[in-house]
Formats: sequence, C-alpha cells, structure tokens
Amino acid sequence: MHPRTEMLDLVVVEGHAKGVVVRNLSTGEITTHAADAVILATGGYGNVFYLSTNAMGCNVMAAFRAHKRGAFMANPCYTQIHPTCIPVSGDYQSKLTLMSESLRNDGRIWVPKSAEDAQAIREGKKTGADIPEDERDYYLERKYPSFGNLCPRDIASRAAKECCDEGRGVATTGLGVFLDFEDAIKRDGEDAIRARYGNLFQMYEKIVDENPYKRPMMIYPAVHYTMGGLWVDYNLMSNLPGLHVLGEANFSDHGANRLGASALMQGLADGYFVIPSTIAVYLAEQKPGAVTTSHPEFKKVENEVKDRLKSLMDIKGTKSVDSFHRELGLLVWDKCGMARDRAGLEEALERIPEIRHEFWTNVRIPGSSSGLNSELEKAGRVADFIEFAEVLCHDALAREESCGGHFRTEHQFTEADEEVQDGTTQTGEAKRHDDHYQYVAAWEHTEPGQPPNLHKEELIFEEVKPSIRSYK
Amino acid sequence: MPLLNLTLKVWRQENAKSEGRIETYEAKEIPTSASFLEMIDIVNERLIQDGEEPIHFDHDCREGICGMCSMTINGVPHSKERGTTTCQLHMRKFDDGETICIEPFRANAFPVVKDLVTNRSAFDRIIASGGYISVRTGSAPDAHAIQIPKADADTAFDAAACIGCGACVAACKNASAMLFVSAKASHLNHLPQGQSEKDQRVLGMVRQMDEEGFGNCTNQFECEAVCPKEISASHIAKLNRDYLSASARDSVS
Ligand SMILES: Cc1cc2nc3c(=O)[nH]c(=O)nc-3n(C[C@H](O)[C@H](O)[C@H](O)COP(=O)(O)OP(=O)(O)OC[C@H]3O[C@@H](n4cnc5c(N)ncnc54)[C@H](O)[C@@H]3O)c2cc1C
Ligand code: SF4
Ligand code: FES
Repeated sequence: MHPRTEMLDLVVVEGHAKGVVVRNLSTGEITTHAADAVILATGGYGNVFYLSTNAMGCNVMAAFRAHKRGAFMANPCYTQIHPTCIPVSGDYQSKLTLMSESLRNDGRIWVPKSAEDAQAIREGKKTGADIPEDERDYYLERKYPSFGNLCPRDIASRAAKECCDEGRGVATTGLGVFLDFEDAIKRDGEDAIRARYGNLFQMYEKIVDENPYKRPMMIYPAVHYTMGGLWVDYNLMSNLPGLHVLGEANFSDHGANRLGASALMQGLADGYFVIPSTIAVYLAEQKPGAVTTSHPEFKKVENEVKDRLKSLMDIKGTKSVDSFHRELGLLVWDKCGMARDRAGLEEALERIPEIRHEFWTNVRIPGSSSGLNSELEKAGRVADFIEFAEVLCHDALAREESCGGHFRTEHQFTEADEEVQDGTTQTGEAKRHDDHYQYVAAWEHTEPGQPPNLHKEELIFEEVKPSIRSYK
Repeated sequence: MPLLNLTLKVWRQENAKSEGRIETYEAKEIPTSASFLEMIDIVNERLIQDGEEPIHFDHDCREGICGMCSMTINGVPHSKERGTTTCQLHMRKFDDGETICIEPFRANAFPVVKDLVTNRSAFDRIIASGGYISVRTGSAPDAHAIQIPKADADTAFDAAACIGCGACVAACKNASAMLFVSAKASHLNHLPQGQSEKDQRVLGMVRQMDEEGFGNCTNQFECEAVCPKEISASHIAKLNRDYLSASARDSVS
C-alpha cells in the first residue's frame, strides 16, 4: 500500500499507458513507476461544483491527466443531483451532507402554496407547523400522483429547484424544502420511525440543531454522483491502450442517470468480476516487464510534473486555492447545474478561461513543495478542475436535448407537444432528441485552451427501445 | 446568525523531525452553524491572506465515516461531545470568548507528520495482518444459505462501525489499540464467514499491534468514552477470549 501518495501524471510509451508519476504527500518526493498496464479507480468529478456530497479529497486529476495524455472523456454533462441533502447554511460551507434516499419512503415533501408564507418561514415569523394543510403544496404528490415522493432523483431535484425559484423555498437562504414525517409518526408511532431512521435523524439534528421528530426536516438537492468519466470499452480499457478505468472514474454502466445503490454494485463488478478477466486480453499481447522506468519517457514526464509544481509554487499571488475553487464551483453550479441553457453555458465558457488565467497568475500557495503541503495538493487538483469544467460545459452545450442528469431548459415538453396532449407525459419534462443525440459523446483533448474534439459512439438499441418516461 | 470570537491554541510542527510548539490564533466571527473543521478553514483562509502557512489537519468525508479528522480538542480526542467525530462537531457547542486547545493525537505509534496530521499507517498494517476471509466464488449463493442470528448480525454491525480514527489510542494513557483491534476482529469473528480464518486473524492482528508499539490494555475505558462510533469495550473481552484460545491451539499445533 502507498498511503498519502498521489498520481500526478500518466506515462505513455509508444501510445500505451505504461506507468505513473506520483508524489509522496508527506515528503514531497516525486517517483516514477512502470507497469505492464495501468488501472485508474480514482473516483468521480463531483467536486468540480465545489460543494457536493463527495469527500473533500475526491478530484478529477488522475482522470484528467490521462485525458490530456490522450484518453477520451465521455459524457461529462451527465451529473447526478441528489434531492435529499441538508441545505447550505453559509458561504463558509465546505461540503454538503446527504440524507439517505430511504427517507423519501415515509417523509412527505412540501413547500407552502404561497410565497408570502414561505417568506414568513424564512424570516422565522412562522414555522412549518403554522401552515394549515390546505395551504401546503405537496408538489411531488401533486405532479406525480403514482410515484409521489419516490419519483427519480433528477425529477425530485428539479421540482425542488422550481419551487425555490418561485420564491417558495423555506430555508433561510431560500434554498430548501420540507421533508415532513408528521404523518408517518402519527401513523406508525415515533418509535417505529426511530427504528427506521434514528441514525439519520440524529445526524440531521447534529448538523442543523433542530429535532426532526418535532419539526419537518429541510432538504435541498446537491451534486452527488457523476455518470460521465473516461471512455472505456467492454473490457474497461480506454481508447488509450493499456489504460483501464474502473468505478465512478469511467463513464460506463449508468448511462445518463444512475439508479440508487448501483455505484457500489459497479465498483464490485468492475473490480472483482470484470477486470480480472478482461485485463488479460491486453496483457496477452504485452511482453511482461518490457517497459521500465529507464525509458526516457519516464524522465520526461517526471520533469514535466516537477515543472508544473514549481510553476504553481512560483506564482506567489494573493488569492487562496479555495477561493478559486469556490468561484469555479458556483459558476458551474449556476450555469451547468440542475438546469442548463445555451446562453448560460456560453457565458460559463467565456468565464472559465478567465478564472484559469487568474488562477495561474494570482494563486497563493504558502510553504514549499518538499513535505506535506495541503495547499499545493489542492492547487494541482483545482487547476485540473478548471480545465475540466470547460470540457463539461462544452459537452452540455453540444448536447441539444435533455436526457437524465442533463437538463437543457430549451428542451422540455410544452403544451404544444403531442405527447403532452395525449397524456404520455407532461409539460416541463425532459425532452430527448434520439434522432440526433443517441450517442456517447467522447471528447478528445486538443491544445490547452482549445475546445476538445467530439467523437461519437452511436448507441444501438436492439431489444429494448428507448421511450418517454412518465411518472404521472 | 450568532458569531463567536475565540482564541485557539494550536500545536504547530513543521515535520516529524522538528520540535513542535503551541501557537495562538484569534478565530474571529465564526458562525455557530459552522463545523469545527470549517472554523479551521476560516482561520486558515486568513492565515493564507496574511502570508502564513495554514494549520495542517487531516480530513476527507466531513461526515463522520472516514476516520481522518483526528485531533484532540481541549484534551479530549474528537472533543468532549460523545459519539461525535471532529468533523461532526459544530461551533454552537462553544461559547463566545472561549479558548480552545487543539493538538494532534498523541501516541508513539502515530508520529506527527505536520501540525495536527499524524501517520496512522500502523492501523493499516494491523488490518493487513488480519488477512482475508475465504469466499466461495462462482454463482451467487442463495440469500438464506448462511443464516445469521439477529443478535450476531447486530453485534458484528456495531463492531464494523469502527472508522479506524485512532481516538481510542490517543485517549488511553497506555496508548493501547485494543478497542480498534477488537472491533475489527469482532466484526468478522461474530459472523459465520469469519470462522475459518479466525485464529489466524486474531493472532496476526494482535502480534502486529504489539510490534507497532501500542501499549497494553489495563481496562481504563477511556477508549470507549471517546470513541465517536461508541464501540463497546466488551469487544475487548471477546478479543482476549479469542486470542487465548487461538494461542492455545497455536501452541499445540
Ligand atoms: C455520501 C455518499 C453516499 C453514497 N451512497 C451510495 C449508496 O448507498 N449506494 C451506492 O451504490 N453508491 C453510493 N454512493 C456512490 C458511491 O459511493 C461512489 O460512486 C463509489 O464509492 C465510487 O467508488 P470508486 O472506487 O470508483 O471511487 P472512490 O471511492 O471515490 O475512490 C477513489 C480513490 O482514488 C483516490 N485518488 C483519487 N485521485 C487520485 C490520485 N491522483 N492519485 C492517487 N489516488 C487518487 C482517492 O483518494 C480515493 O481513495 C455514495 C456516494 C456518496 C458521496
Ligand atoms: S474503536 Fe472507535 S475510537 Fe477506536 S479507531 Fe475505531 S472508531 Fe476510532
Ligand atoms: S472527516 Fe471523515 S470522519 Fe471526520
């Protein structure tokens, strides 16, 4: 095991992934390692949004380094926003906490019907209990009578956003909806609810300082999972021979929208069942140990890594790494979050290069690159998040449809649509354009600062035909 | 939102070899709804603005499941709040004007890497020396093929809640790792799947624990009091029994 060791780059020898360059985070030492093949299992990119339910260390660096060395980045615009998270409480916030999805089994989600009541709640003049039953809007039950509070994550998240956009949010920031257990407690008793959700209620109370048995919980959607990632084939090998990508870091399995519990399933399947067999397909054609770190490419990449660390340390600007990360995150959340449109994405694509430029001229990293330096670690990751954000927005801009975790406001069903008139679906639902967009968008890195190149992998459905979903 | 002004006394240490010292910092205008780590983030942001090195500390999940956020707060690992990791501690638990002492976890087996960051790889090595359990691969077994009494499943689950933070070691005057090791052993020893390698696991882990320089357990129960996952010291008794019988069998064979 190599704890506290971070991969800072991939070494490609004659077109094949043959090793990595790593930094020992405790000592700052840079070392190179050669191998017959490389496996990345380095997780998702949710922290490009700064605030997410992911751990603080989750980052896109390993995947993005591989991308810059030739691996395609697929479908980055498919990002999953989880509906049941604890709302943001202030700008010092560092991460968001997920409340388990299971809460939606018994909790009822609502906001006041009127914006005035919501405002009174935000200002502390009223509480949820003061709002009479007929003044509450159980919006999921209203819009999706058969699925109600259990409708899919993207629908529940977007519906919460709509209510808050209408001024009916209930948290002090305006961004929060109620998840109310009053009826469940009346029906099953407090003990039954405690047995089911006791630990979650306790966690909520620790963070929010309110007793959810007595007052409805408040929740708001937050970035949770990223379906996109490095492109891989059925053997989990990327287009870059030798590079294998497992788990959340790859784009496979979940399409445009992951279902609950299937990420861990994928981790198990990829690591335990798939790769032990499929990596052999690649290894069978390699001479074991043929490439060693004495190959000049290792020294070259090592020097590039060292130069990059030195450039970061030499900037000696005025703003902290976190301040850039926060700014980028807010921008991406705003323009490429739960709902996206062309104008917003174009704005983001103008703004991101400016942030990149400011970062590389004005970031301040105290300390030195020898020894533990958490600011330097974060700086390398944020630098990649900034570049990655551009790929993300390019993908979201190019995909002129709404599909799963990607919702373009221009592409939603309206009254004019036949499918709405005949009751197949309803207004405001995601509208796919299968005739034009039934493909995986695999992006190839070009030049720094230049838009990536799009490669399309057509999706062919032989047995099951895609249809319009309806949760009415 | 109410804001707090606090004084921090923080252990600063450049690296494992250098001498450490306590530095004093003002933590101004800290929102009561911020977490303890967010409070340090705020202080660090100001330190960076002032051209100083931020306070280094370990953290990752910030929701009480990874075990990284090790620090001793006013003399108690993870603070005096029961059943709480440092990352789950909120500033509303402190009073305006309070002085807070923050130190790394102290134990010979956990050398300081920098400031509040300690190297707890000794725990990784203990886990590794416990080895694997045998699993039959091939087609999936039927869900009811191995039945586990609910009491055993619950006990195993409670033990599995250990996040390997090391607070138990830091709280113990002997720096004993028995609560951690017993939780990890107990988790598998309570389950049918853990039986075949039980002796090997217990002997391997206990021997590694001794080798890493953790002290002996003299039933102080400080570990149980600070454990953020409220792991019961009764697991230690079970480990002792399992160790005794494993040693007996080991000396015979
Ligand atoms: C709060 C929360 C709850 C969840 N609940 C569920 C659930 O109930 N069911 C479910 O199926 N899924 C759930 N998920 C999703 C699931 O946990 C993740 O998708 C899954 O853990 C990803 O596993 P992974 O191994 O691909 O990546 P990760 O677990 O993210 O592991 C990546 C590893 O790579 C390391 N790493 C990253 N970059 C580098 C580098 N450059 N060099 C060296 N190391 C690096 C990281 O430190 C990390 O250890 C949840 C996610 C969150 C955040
Ligand atoms: S037993 Fe408790 S205190 Fe010790 S490592 Fe496990 S969770 Fe931490
Ligand atoms: S940061 Fe993970 S337990 Fe505290």
